[in-house]
Amino acid sequence: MEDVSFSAGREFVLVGGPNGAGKTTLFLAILGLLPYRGEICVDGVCGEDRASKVGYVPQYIHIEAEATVWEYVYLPAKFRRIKAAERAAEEALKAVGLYAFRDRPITALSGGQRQRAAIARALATGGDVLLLDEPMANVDPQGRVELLSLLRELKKDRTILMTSHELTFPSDLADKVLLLNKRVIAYGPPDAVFREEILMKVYRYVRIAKTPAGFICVTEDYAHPH
Amino acid sequence: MLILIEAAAAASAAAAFIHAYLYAPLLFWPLVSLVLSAAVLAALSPLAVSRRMTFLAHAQGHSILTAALAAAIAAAAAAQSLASPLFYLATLLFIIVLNLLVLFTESLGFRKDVATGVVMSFQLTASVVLLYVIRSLYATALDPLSIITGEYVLITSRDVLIQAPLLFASALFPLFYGVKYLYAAVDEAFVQAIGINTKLLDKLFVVAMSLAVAGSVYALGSLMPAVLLVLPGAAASRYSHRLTEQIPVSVSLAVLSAAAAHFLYTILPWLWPSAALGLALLVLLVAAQPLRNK
Repeated sequence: MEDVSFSAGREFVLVGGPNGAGKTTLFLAILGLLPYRGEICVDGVCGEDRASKVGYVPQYIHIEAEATVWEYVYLPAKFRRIKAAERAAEEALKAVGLYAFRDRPITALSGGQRQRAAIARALATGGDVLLLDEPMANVDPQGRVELLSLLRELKKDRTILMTSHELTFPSDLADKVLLLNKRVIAYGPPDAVFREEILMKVYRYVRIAKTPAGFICVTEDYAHPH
Repeated sequence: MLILIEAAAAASAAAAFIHAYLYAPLLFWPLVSLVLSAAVLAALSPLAVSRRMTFLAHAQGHSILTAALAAAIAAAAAAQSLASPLFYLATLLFIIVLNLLVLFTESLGFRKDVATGVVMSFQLTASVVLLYVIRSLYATALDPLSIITGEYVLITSRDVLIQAPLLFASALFPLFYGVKYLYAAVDEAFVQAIGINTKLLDKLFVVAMSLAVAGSVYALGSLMPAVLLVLPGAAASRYSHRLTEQIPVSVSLAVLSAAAAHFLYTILPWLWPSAALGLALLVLLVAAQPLRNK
């Protein structure tokens, strides 16, 4: 990737783009897990320490080992030496509505509940900045509704960057859209980015509809025709 | 459940030690060696099971056989016995080299299981060569069977003192990194994202396994360490779904089984203690299945 420059305040940024556009790469660079040139700062911290200010939800969550929901959220906070890790985990689980499930095996949760647990873990281990990598993937429609409702609550006092291969979402969720394809193609409010002439720069096929509920964008990658 | 299992393990171990001390003094130090070996190998077992390294753990059976045969030849050439420090150190050295060879083969682009299989193939070939060398050159000084079964009844306090540092060093890994390493099995990408170097932990785990099998080979032989690296961890995951309980439950089950093995051996002298230990663990594993289904 090159020429990637943007800043976000306390807002929800939807990071979109076709497969291989660099969405996950961007997150890994922010976390300091990939080499890069330039400067990345989070909450005013620009060195490696910035990762401690970021809560992260990875793209693939395949849980097979034994752990309770509580251990899943609390232990990483303890590993990161978060002050009052127990309280942070407790509050995070309450925030995502899983506190009552804390003694259950994490493997017993549904896909949507696991994503909420992963968000709770990000809340317990990070600061006020959340990086969510494709959290809607592998979540059923009911789980999707619950996740969107949770994200609406969380975005009130946090910076959230969420990647999504799909660009269809409720209009009250994203404040900005960052469209990537190896570099920044567009960055701004959804109305400014979800335009056919902009999306056609990275997609082979684009249809956009703006409904009262939000944008519906149907896109097709160049590299992955149906 | 954890408290019950820990209490049962402590009570059975105490009973076995008292029984050995009062009624079978010759078996006291062998029992100490068996319990120590079983406990340390069992502490590593949930890590091998959770990290999908059971194949590598079972490969310890091959690597310890090859390493012990090579070390036995080195010890015989230096006119030392299988209970000598030279034998332990040479075994340890060869095991570490053989285990690191797996990681090296993996770095050449082979999948983990293929890399393990390739190195195991080399070890099996080398074992045949070494067995024939022993038969040809050291037939009067060495009994290859003792390398496979262990020398349980010959174990003295001196042997325990030689194996203890190796087992203690091995136990440091589960003690300090056990929970982190187990969590890496839950979500490796996330663990790396919060700055835990899982590749380094993989290497340290291999070294810890090498130390544990080298420290227990004289008591357990070359085959049973592999069993103790898999069964206690597999059984622990049946008895508890808590990550933080996996290691204590696994150790407790192994200690319980070691105590049972002692009593079985005193009742049935033809049932070798390390084999009795494996059978007891299998019984505990099967017994846990109804609990899981509930």
